[in-house]
Amino acid sequence: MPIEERELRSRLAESAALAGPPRFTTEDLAGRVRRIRRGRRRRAGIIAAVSVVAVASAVAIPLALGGTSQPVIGAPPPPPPGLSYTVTVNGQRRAVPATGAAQIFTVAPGERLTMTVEVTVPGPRAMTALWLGITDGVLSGHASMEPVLAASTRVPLRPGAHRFVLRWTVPAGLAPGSSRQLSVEWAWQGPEPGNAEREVAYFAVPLPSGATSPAAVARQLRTKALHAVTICDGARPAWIRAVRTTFSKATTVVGGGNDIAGKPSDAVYLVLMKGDFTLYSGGPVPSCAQAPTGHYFSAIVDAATFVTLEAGLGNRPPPVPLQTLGPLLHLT
Amino acid sequence: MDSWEQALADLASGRGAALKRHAFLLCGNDAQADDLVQEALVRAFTRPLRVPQPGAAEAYVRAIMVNLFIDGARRRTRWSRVAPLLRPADMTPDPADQVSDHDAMLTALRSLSPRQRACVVLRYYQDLPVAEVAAVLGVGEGTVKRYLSEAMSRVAVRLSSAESG
Repeated sequence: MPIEERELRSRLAESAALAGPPRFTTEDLAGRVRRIRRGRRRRAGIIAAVSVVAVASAVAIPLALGGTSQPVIGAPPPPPPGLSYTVTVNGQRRAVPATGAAQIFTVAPGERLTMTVEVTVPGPRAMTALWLGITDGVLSGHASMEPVLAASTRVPLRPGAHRFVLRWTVPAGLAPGSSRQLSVEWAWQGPEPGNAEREVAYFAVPLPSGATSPAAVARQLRTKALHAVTICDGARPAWIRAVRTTFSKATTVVGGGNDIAGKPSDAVYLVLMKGDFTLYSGGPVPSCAQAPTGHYFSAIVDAATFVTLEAGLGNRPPPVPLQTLGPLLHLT
Repeated sequence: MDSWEQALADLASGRGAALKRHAFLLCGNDAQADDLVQEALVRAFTRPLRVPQPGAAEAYVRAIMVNLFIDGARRRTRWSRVAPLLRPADMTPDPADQVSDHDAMLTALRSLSPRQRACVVLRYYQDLPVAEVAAVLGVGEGTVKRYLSEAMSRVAVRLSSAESG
């Protein structure tokens, strides 16, 4: 027996009226929105480390793609107090200067890590809070750390060096080609109070030797590239190409070298995509400025760990054709 | 207070109940409806470039709700295989759900696929033209008409059997 539209409308209205009153408050909603917005702003403004998930941050500090990268949005905020770090993981000691690149440590799934992190507060301001924890590509305050490995919130960290000993077991299921990050969030008071965060170390599971067939590599790179595309508002690339080269040659072509530490001779893949990219996720954009856009999106991916070392956005292709660096991989 | 905060406050306090009713028809569950409205509002207001003019904000949030509902249903389908194993044995039913469990219309809606349900709610509760329903769901008008036709037949059968039984 058919049902009349009028009857259906009436019955839907009656059923809808069974809904209870909203159990959320405007304050809760505004608080959630504020936290997310703050996280994006911090990510866009100050974070130097880049992963494919957080490619947004790389574009906020654009690389020179033929000198045509988009300017950073709006006036930059005052720089946060820069903390420097020394990270020791299972005996390997690496320095991470305040404005320097995050360090990569290769790890194995299930491996138990003992880390010593020395944080140097430069002064004159004390840090009112500091958290250290593990993140999975997204920086959005210590709430995004899983787990938080150390927190100093009761006593301000005064200028000088502070030492934290951390223990963490790499997830047994972390797949080769994946990584987690050791991230820090810190807060300060004063005339311009604020907080900031960054990644200081990457824990990457390398691909096993023998599993780096051209098809496997192409699959990994394509996955990473398409993931980056989703951040750029889902723009569909016309093509994706990659070439295997060294870190120094790749940075010569597309610039950069400041986000995650790479040795000049390290093998990398330089990935280039063509499309119409708009970086809405890079953070709130002031009404006087436009979201960064570009037709070429580049990423430098470490060949052993598949960590993205650099990323950039520009309107012109790189000055040096990719094929001059080696045989091209066509990923589309 | 920033302009977005004011817009969010206006929408949540002034139209929160209406949004909740819309979500309730989609989910058929009071708690899930609350979650759906909150999630849609948060998503709408965390992307400043996407938040349209105040007059269109409610329609924008409703569109987000529909898409979140359909995406969520897709994920729940994958979860449903293991969900019974995770569910505590002594769950107490929500009183609101006990009421909705006995509503023939909601029971009929539950028998529809998420897309069919979204089409019915958008077309016959929100009173959107077919073209706008198609735009919200990102499908063709012909597809919407097909979903609506199938949904109407199924709802009619369900209501009829509920009333005769």
